[in-house]
Amino acid sequence: MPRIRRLEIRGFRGIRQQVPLLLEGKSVLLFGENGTGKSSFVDALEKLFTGRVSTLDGRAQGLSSDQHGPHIRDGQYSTRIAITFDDTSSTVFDFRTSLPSLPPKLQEYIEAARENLYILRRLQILDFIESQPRERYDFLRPFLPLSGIEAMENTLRQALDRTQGEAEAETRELDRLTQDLRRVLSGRSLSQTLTEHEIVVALSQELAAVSHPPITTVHQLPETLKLLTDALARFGDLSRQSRLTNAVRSLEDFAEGISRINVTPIVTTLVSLREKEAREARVFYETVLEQGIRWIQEESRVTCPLCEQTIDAAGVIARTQERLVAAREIVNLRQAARQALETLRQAVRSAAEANGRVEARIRDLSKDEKDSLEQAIKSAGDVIVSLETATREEIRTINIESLRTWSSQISQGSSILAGLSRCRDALLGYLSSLPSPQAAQKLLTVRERLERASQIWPTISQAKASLEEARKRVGIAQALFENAQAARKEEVQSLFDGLSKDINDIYVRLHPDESHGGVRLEIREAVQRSVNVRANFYDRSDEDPRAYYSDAHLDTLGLSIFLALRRWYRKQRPGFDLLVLDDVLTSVDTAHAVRLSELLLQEFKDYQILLTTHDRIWFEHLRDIQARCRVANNFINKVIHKWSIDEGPDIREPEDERKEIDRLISDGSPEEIAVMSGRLLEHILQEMRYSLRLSVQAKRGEQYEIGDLWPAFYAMVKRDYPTLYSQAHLILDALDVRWPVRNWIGAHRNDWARNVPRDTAVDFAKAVRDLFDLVFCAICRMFIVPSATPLGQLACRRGEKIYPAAGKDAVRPKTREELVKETEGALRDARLNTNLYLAWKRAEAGRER
Amino acid sequence: MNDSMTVEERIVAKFLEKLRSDQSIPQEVFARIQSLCKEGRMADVQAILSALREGIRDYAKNSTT
Repeated sequence: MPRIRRLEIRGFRGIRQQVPLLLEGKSVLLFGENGTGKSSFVDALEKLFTGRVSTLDGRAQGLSSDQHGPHIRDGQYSTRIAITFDDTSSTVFDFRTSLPSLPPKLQEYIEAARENLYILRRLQILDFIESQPRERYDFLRPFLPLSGIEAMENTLRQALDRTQGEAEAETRELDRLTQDLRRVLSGRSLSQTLTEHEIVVALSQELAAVSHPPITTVHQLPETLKLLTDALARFGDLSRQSRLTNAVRSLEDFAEGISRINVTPIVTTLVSLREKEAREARVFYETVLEQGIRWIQEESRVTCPLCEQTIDAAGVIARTQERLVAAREIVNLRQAARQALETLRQAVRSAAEANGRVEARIRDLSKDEKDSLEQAIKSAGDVIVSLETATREEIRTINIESLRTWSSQISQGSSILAGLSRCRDALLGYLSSLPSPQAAQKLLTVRERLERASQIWPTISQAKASLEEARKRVGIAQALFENAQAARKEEVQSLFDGLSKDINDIYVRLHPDESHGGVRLEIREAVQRSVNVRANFYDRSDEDPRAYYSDAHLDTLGLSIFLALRRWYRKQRPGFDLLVLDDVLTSVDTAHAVRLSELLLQEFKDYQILLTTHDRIWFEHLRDIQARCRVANNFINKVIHKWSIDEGPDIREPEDERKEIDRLISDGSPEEIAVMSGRLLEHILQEMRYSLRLSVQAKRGEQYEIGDLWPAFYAMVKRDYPTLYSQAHLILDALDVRWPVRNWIGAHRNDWARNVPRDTAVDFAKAVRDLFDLVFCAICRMFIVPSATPLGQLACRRGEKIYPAAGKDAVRPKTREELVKETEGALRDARLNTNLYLAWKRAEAGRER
Repeated sequence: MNDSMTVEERIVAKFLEKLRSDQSIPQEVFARIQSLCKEGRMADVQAILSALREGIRDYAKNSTT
């Protein structure tokens, strides 16, 4: 698995000159006091991988990593951030690297790193808990790769909508056909649904009126029609009479069809809809603009919700609700318009069909008879065609004026309807002039009705079957959609349950013997895509933890959630093991922080961790815990000795500085020698300040220099560590006189000091180098520290370098195994038990005092 | 369902499991939806509508014969 070997930064945040952070594929514990540039390393990592820095981008208006990321004394062009991986080719990744050019494992690593789910800063610990439920879902969204499922759900929703639309269309078609048949059988008692039995009864009644035997099934209709035609033949040539009767009926049908065309509902609804839409759009933009201007003008009052500042919540909710009501009205109006348009389309379609029938019937008439009719029927037909064209438009494009124009031409009393009425009167005139027995008229009417019924009924049966099938499709589409939703909710909840268990395990481990826990993330049933956080607190269960938890408990809960999520993400991206915790251990008390450290070092030992802290005591604790958890070899512990605006954080290793002094003694200038020697001396004194607990006058920002530390160090060695002093007195006495050389020529560059001979700088350098060799163990790679016992002894961790207490023999510090044996297992147990460990540390501190 | 499946694969498997036990869904429709899931075509609305139509038609045929 790829790991970071080296992180190199220049000209970014607090780092101006190039600084390499050597990780060598291990975890790094980075200590630096406040303002020494620790977070610059974290920001640089985030910037390189994601292009953003969470503490800048999106934090507040006007802040951005592009603008505020580069070092303040350099332009952005000098910024360089590069990572060297520990693969065999030592691949380097920087801003210019294209992803496809990297080996597959590194591509996978970088893709995972771009999600930014591995960095936690002190500021962000409570982000998840304090979020709104929907924001929490968005926060968890990168952990839930559900885009395919969401697409599936959307598609099933569309399929359901379409099938519902089809079923509605089938229903309307069936209604239309049913209405047609009702008109044919007007005057008969018929139910809403029209069964075959009712049709048979109604037609049999018609037949009875002309003394004809009833039918028992609609299949008998063709045969019955033939019998009626035969009966009519007895009245002689009735073809003209029949043609004229048919023409009259079809004209009546056409006129009735036209009279059913009513554009008023669609026109009224469309006018309301368009007015509402125009008003709503205007209100929306005006509001946005006015608010925007106000926000800009009043930015100093920090009232902008975009900046996450206080807002008038009640006012915003009231306005939002008004907007929602308006939006719902628009939706309702659109729905009403769609229905009205569909009704109009049906009426126009029926009229068009009736028009077709009239034209067919007219063609059967003689030339004289039809000459007087054609113009009126053509005019009416033209209007219907125009209306058909006009109503084919969509709701948003339909032309209201056209509708009004065409409908006015066919309204009651219009010339078109009057023309059709005149045509009907003319045909009735022709009919009345024919010798027509009453019985023949009756027979003709009955035959016409049976003929129409025999045409419409099969279509109705077909429409009923289509509707039934469409309804089945709706039912199944509904079931598909609901099952998909339920499957997603159940699976995501089960993931959340697993995650909750993990969070809870971590939380309970940090808070053993405390009556809270039961942390649970749950999907809110009523709201899609939103997440609640619940927890127990003594007798209260399933509560919002913010109601009862202390700030410190909320902090550890936030940390637990982050760590559980990080572990969850690792399961999805096993090839990515980076975990960055920037100063997150400071908000909890000692016992909890020890537990958290143990948990990190034990449970996350297979991660590459970058852990920063500004607390020296914590730094030391964590080093102890590394040894206790037997992960010391996985860690590199780095100290930022100091920081300056021009030089940035100083994280050089003391051994490198010592080697540099050797080189400078042979060919360096006096200034260079003084600078490097001063730096190493400062480094030694900083370490000794902590290990010997030097008493120095407090200084703002803890920026101690040689002059602040040297007198205390020199005095303490002389007084309390005579063995070391006896071995080092020549060096120490010399340095007591020479340390100001560093300031004369290495720092302040005094004009008068230009004449200081090179030999003086070299003597100073040699003294510093020799002191380093006395207090630094090259085998342990650590400075000497006071031994727990006996008091007054100084030694390195392994006992390679020992300065015994006065009058006593050297005592090699005990190995872990020896201590376990000597304490009858208490140390071993302490390794597993935080409380025992803390007791042991206190006892050790007491012995030391 | 096994642990090596992705979240999406598990949701699809659960979805199919629910459809299989849903009495309102004919076997003919289920088989077609299952194929679409396997082919990764569940974001194609036309394919789903065709599966519904053809599945219901075949179901009608099979239940009358």
